[in-house]
Amino acid sequence: MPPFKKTNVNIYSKPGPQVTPDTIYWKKFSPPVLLKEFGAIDYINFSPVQPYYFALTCSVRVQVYNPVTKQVYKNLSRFREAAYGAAFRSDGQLLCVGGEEGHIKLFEIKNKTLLRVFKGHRGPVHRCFFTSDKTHIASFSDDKTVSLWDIPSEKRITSFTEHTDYVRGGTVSPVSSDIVLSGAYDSAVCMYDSRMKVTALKVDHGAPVECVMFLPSGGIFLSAGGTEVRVWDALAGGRLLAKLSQHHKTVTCLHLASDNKRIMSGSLDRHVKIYDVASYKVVHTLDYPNSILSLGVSPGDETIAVGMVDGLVSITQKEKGQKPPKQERRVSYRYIPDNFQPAEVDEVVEQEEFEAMSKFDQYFRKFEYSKALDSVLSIYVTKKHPARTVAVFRELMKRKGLQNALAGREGKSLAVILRFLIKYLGDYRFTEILINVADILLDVYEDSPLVTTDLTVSQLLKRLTQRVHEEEHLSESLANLQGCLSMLLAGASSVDSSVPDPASIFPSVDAQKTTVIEVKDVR
Amino acid sequence: MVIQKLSEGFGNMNEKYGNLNVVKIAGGSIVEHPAIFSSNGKNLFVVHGNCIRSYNVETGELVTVYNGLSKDAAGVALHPTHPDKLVAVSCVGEFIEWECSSRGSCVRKSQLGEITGKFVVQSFSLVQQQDEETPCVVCVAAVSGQNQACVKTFCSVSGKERNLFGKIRVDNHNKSLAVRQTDGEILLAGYCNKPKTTLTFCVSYNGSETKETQVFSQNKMTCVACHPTELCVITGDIIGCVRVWKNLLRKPVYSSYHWHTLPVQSVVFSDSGSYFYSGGGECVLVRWLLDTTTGRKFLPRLSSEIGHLSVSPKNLCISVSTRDNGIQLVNSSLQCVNSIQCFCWSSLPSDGKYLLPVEMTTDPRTKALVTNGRVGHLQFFSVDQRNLLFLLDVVGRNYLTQERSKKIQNTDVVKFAFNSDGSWLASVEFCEGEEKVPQELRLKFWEYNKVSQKYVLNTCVENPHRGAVKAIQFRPSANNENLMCVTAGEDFKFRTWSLQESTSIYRKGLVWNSENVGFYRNIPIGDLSFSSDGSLMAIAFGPTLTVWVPGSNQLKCSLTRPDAEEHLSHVEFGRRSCVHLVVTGSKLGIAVWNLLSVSLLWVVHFNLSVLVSDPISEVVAAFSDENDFVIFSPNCPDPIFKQNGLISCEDSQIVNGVFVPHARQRNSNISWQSTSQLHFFNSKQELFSLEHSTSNVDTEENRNLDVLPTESLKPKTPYAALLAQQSQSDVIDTKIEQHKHLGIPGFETLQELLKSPAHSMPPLSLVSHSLLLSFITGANKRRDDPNSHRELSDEDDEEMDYNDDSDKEEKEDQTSERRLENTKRELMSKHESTETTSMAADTEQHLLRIQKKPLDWVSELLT
Repeated sequence: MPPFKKTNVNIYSKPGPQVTPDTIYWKKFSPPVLLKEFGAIDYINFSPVQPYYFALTCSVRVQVYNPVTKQVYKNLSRFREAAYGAAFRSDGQLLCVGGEEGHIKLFEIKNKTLLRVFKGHRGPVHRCFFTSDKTHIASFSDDKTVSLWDIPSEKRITSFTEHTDYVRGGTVSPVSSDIVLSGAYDSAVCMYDSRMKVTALKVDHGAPVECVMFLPSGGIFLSAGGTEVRVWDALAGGRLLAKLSQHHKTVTCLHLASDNKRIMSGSLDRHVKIYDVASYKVVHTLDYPNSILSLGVSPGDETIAVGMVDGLVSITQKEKGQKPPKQERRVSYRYIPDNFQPAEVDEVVEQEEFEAMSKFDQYFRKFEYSKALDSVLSIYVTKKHPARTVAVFRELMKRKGLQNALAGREGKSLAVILRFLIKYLGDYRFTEILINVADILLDVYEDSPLVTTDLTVSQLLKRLTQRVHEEEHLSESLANLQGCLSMLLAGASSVDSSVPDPASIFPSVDAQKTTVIEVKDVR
Repeated sequence: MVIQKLSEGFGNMNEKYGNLNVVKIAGGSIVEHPAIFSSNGKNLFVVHGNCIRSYNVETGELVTVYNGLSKDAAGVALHPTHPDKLVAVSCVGEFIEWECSSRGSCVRKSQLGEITGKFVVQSFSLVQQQDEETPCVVCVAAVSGQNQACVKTFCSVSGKERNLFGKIRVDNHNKSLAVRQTDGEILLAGYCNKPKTTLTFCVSYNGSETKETQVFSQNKMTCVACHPTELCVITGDIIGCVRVWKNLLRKPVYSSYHWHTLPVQSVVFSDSGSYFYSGGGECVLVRWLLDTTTGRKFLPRLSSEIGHLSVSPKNLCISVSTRDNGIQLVNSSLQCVNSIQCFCWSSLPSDGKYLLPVEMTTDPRTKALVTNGRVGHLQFFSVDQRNLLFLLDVVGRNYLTQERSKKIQNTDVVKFAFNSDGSWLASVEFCEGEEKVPQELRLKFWEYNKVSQKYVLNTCVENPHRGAVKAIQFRPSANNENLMCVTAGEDFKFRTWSLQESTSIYRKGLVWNSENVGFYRNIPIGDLSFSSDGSLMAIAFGPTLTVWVPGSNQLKCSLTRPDAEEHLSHVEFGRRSCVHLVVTGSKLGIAVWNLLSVSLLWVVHFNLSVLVSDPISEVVAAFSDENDFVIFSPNCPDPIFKQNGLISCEDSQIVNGVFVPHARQRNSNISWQSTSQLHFFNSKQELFSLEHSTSNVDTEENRNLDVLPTESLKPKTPYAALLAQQSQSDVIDTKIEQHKHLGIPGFETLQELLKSPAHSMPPLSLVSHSLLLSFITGANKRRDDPNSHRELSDEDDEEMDYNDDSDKEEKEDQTSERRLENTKRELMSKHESTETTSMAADTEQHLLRIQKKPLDWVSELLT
C-alpha cells in the first residue's frame, strides 16, 4: 500500500521560498514598544559599547535611553533651539550634538557636562560625527559647508565649500580619520580628504541626498535620497554599482545590520527595507505606523529603534530566550525499560511513523470533500495562505467533487467562499481556477432560495458581478497596452534595416557654418 | 529546387532477407485469469499466455515455467486428489497435467471432446466423482462473440462429454461460474446477465442426484464465489453490492454487503469461510466478516484496479491481481508483503480501450528501455534481462479512481527525454482540461543523483505552454556543456530551456530557466529534432521544415515541398554518414532533405505513423497505420528491409518504437541491427523485437530458466542455486581465545591450602600436584579424555582422503557423520576454544615431566 501522497499546495504560491532564513530571523523580534516624544525624531544613534544606550535627538533635547528598560538614562536639554544629530564617540563616553543655532556641543554623558562648544557655522548643523581617531569632529551644516574641528583646541581645522545647497547627510570613513563624506540637497555626494584640503570625489545622486553611509571596508558608500539608494565604488573613482529603488517615497535613513551583512533603509513610505549586502536584494521588509525619519540598530541586532515624524519611537528587541524543544510524546513504556536492547531472538516491531498531514489531506484521504474545503476556508488560511485554498479548489475540481463540496451550504459559509472569490479573483495566479469555481458555485446555487432571501449572499453576489466586470475592463485595457507595446517592439526591430546610409546625410546649414579646427600638438 | 527521385512507394530491397520473426519481449498478461496457490502455499501459479508461471510467494521470483499448450490457457487449477499436480486447459480445449516439482515437464495431455473449432473455453474447474479415479473438467465454453456460454463437463482422460449438471447458462466471462466440491457434494453457482440477470445454483450429490434453483436479480452481476464448506454463495454486482446467498436449495435468501461504489470485480472466501474479500475499481481490498455487514477492514491505494483475488491455504496470503499487470501478495493482517510486477501497463479505462500515446526512449545511463508505466509513472525496463528495473513516480499524485457517474482523469506523463549521458531527465505531465476544469501541464527536470542513485526533482514549471506539449528534446552535447532543452507546444511556439545558476541568495545550485521562445508564421508545430552534434535544430511547422540555430534562435532556412499540404508529423535528423539529411514524414509520405544543397533528395508515398531513427547507426525505421514496416537509410530511397503487416492489425496497432543499443556485443545476423535492436510497442501494450527466423531466440515464454532446487533452499534465486550444499575451506578460522574460568585460576585451591593451619598441612609433595593442576585452565576436563584432540585431528586427515577417493563407498556414511560432527564442532568453537584446551594439555604434560625429575638439588641448595 503506497502512502497517501500529499496535495501539492505550492503550485499557486508565489515563486521563490516563502519562508526564508531572513523572514524567520526578523520575525524573532519582540513586539515593538512605542515611546512618544515631542516633535519629529531627527536622529537615533546607538552607543557602540555595552549596554548600548541610544541617543534620541528630537526638538530641543537629546535623550539617552537604556534599551533594556526603555527608560531615559540621561537627558541633555541645554539647547535654546532644536538639537540635531547626536552621535556617540566610538568609546561611548562622549556625545556631539549639532543644532539649529549652528553650534556643535560636546557632552560627557556620565555627568551630562558640556565639555566643548564649537562655534563657526552660520547655519544649522544637522549631522556631526567623531572621526575614527577620536580627536576630531566632522560637521555638516545648512550653510553649505562641511567642517572638521579639533576637540582639544576647540578650533576649526578645515572647511569645505563644495556644495551649493544644504548639507543634510554626512558620515566619516570607518577606516581613515581623514576621509569625510557628505551629501547635500544639490544632489551631489562629495568625498573629502582633510590632508589634501580639496574634494577627493564628487558623484551625482540624482535627487536631494538625505543620508550617506560607508560600508565597513570604506571602499563602497551608499547615498539615499529621493526614492532611491545608490551604491558607489569609491576606489573605482565613484563608479555606480547599484541602484536600489524599493521605496516609493523619500528614503531618509540608512543603517547596517546583522554584523554588517544587511543594509537597512527607512523611508517616508513607512517601510524599512532590509537588503543583502552582497546582492543588494531585498530580503525582508519591516512595517511601521508612520513615516520613518531615523533608524538605529545596536550591535548584534539586539535592539532596533525607529523614529517617526510624529514623535513616535518604536523599539523592538531580539528575543533571546529560546523556547525549550517540545517534549517528545511518550506513549507507554511501562513494559519496556529504558535503553532496552533487544536480544537476537526478539522480533522487533517498528513503531509506524505517521507523517504529519494537513487537515485537508486527511479529509481527502477519506473522500470528505466538504470538510476538506471547510478546513481551508478559515480566516487564517484565506488571509495568509490563499494559495492553499486555491490548491484545494483545484484538487476538488480534479476529483470532480467541487459541486458536492459547494452544495448544501448555509448563508454564512457561502459568504466566506464568495468573499474569497471577490478578494482573489484578480490575482493572476488564481484567476483561472477561481473563475471556474465561481462558475460552478453559480450553477449549484442557481435556484437556491439563499440567493434571494439571504441579504449578505445577494449583496456579495452583486459585488462579485461588479468585480468580474472590473477584471474584464482591466484585462481589456491590458490587452490594448500589450498591443501597443508589441507594435512598438515590432517597430523597433524593423527600424534597424531602414536606418539611412550615413553617406546620404548631408551637413545641415548650421553644421556647415560651425567649423571645427583640429589642432595637433606636434613637438 | 530539384527533386532527384519521386516514387510511388518504397522500391525493392537492397539486401535479401527472409521474413523476420516478430518476437514478443514483454507485456504478456499475468492478470487475465486468477492466480492459484500451491497446496503448501509457497508457490503461486499464474497464467501467462499459453504457459503457466510459478512464482515463489516469499521472494516474488519466477521459479518455473510450465509449457505444453498450443493456445492461450483458460485458467489453471490444482488436481483435486493429487494436489502436487497442476492442471490447465487451453481455450481450444487442450487438457494438460504437470507434476508441480517436475520443472515444467508435462505428465499427461489430452483433448476435451468437441470443443475444438466450435467453442472457446473461458474458465474451468475440476471436480472429482467419488467412484472415479480421474477428475472431470467443468468448463465455461461459448461460441466466440456470443454473450452467453454454457457449462460443459468432460472426462479428463477420454475427453468425452458428461452430463452431470444439466444445462446451465452463464455469461461468456471467466468469472461467471464458481464450483466447489466437498465430500460427495458439488456446488455450482453461475450467473447470466442476458436477457435477465439470473443466478443459478446447482448441487449434485455423488453425481446421481442433482438439485437446481434459479433466482433473478435486478442488477447485473459481475462475479461469483462459493463457500468452502457450507451451501453459501457470494456474488458481486455492477452497483458495487456484494450479496451472500443462503438457503440455496429451497428459497434462496440474501444479505447485502455494500461498500463498493464501482462494480465488484472479484470476491473470494477465506480458507475457512468466516471472512470474505472483495475488490474492484476503487483499488481497495475489503475484508468482510461473513456474520456481520459492518466489520470490515480495508487495504487502500493498491497500485491499480483489482481484477482477481485468490486466497492461499490456511489463509496465509492473498494474491491480488491488479490491472497494471502486477500481483500484490497481501498477508492475513492486510499488509502488502510482496509484489510480482511484469512489464507494467498503464491503467486502462473501463471500456477496455487503451489510453495512448505511449512514449518510448532509451536511458543512456542504464541502456534500459523507458516507457510509460502506471499512471504518472515511468518504467525502466531492461531489454537484455527482460525484467522491470524500477518505476519512477513522476507526477507524485494519488491515483484517482473512477466514480460511478463521473469520469475522472488522472494526470499522466506524456513526453519525456534524456540528455546525452542520462544525467538529466525532462518530463511533461498533462491532464486535458474539460468544461470547468482547467488543463494541467507541468514540465519537470530531474537530475540523477549518483550518490543516492535516485532521480531528484530539480525544476518544476507550471504551464510552460498553452495546450499540450508536442515534443521535447535535449540538445546533444558532449560533457554536458551548454545543456539545453527544447519543448514544442500546441500554442505554435517552441521554447528553449537552459541550465542557469540559481538567483536566490539562499539556495545554491543550478535551475532550468526559459531562455527563448520561437515561432514561425503562427503555424502549428509537428515535431522537432536535433542534429547529432547539436548545432542545428529542425522543427516542422505545418508543412514546412524549418532549421534553427539552437542557442540564438536564428532561423537558418525554411523548406516546403511545393506540392505539400499535409502537416508534417515527424522530423528526424540523419546520423553518421547522413548528418546533412533530414527525414520528414507525414500521412502522405516520407521526404528527405539535403541541408547542404538545401534541396529535396527523395520522396516516397507511405502512410507513416511511427518514425524511429537509430542513435548509433544511420538507419531509420518507419511503421505505417497498417503495421507495414520499412527500414531505410536516408541517403537512398531503396529500403534495406521491408515487410507488410508485421503484426496482424485487426486488434492492435504499432504505436511506437525505439532502437535499444546492445548492452553487450551480439552477433546479430541482421546487419541493420548490429549496433542496436529495434523494439516496438503495440496498442495492447506488448513489446516486440525482430529476430531472424533461423536464429534460436529465447522468447518471453520459452526462455530457459536456470534450474533451481525446489525445496531444499528457501531463497530460490539463481545465486542460491550456485551455492553448494556443503562446502569446505582451507582458510584457517581465526579463533578467539576465551577464558573458561572467571577469576584467578587456582584461587580456590590456594585459599583452601592457606586456610588450614600450618601444622595440619600434608607434605608438600602430596599437595603440589593438585595445586599446580588447578592453576591450569580447563585441566579438569582434559583429564577425562586427554587424547581426544589428537584423535580428532587424525580424523580430519582421514576425511580429506575419503573425499578425494570416491571408491571407498563403505565409509561414505561414516564420513558424512563425521562431517556433521565437524560442523557441530565448528559451531561449538565459538564458545569453547580447542586451541586453549590443547595448550593446556601440553602444559600439563610438561609439568608432569618436571614433577618426575629428581629434585634433590633443591634440598642441597636449601642446606
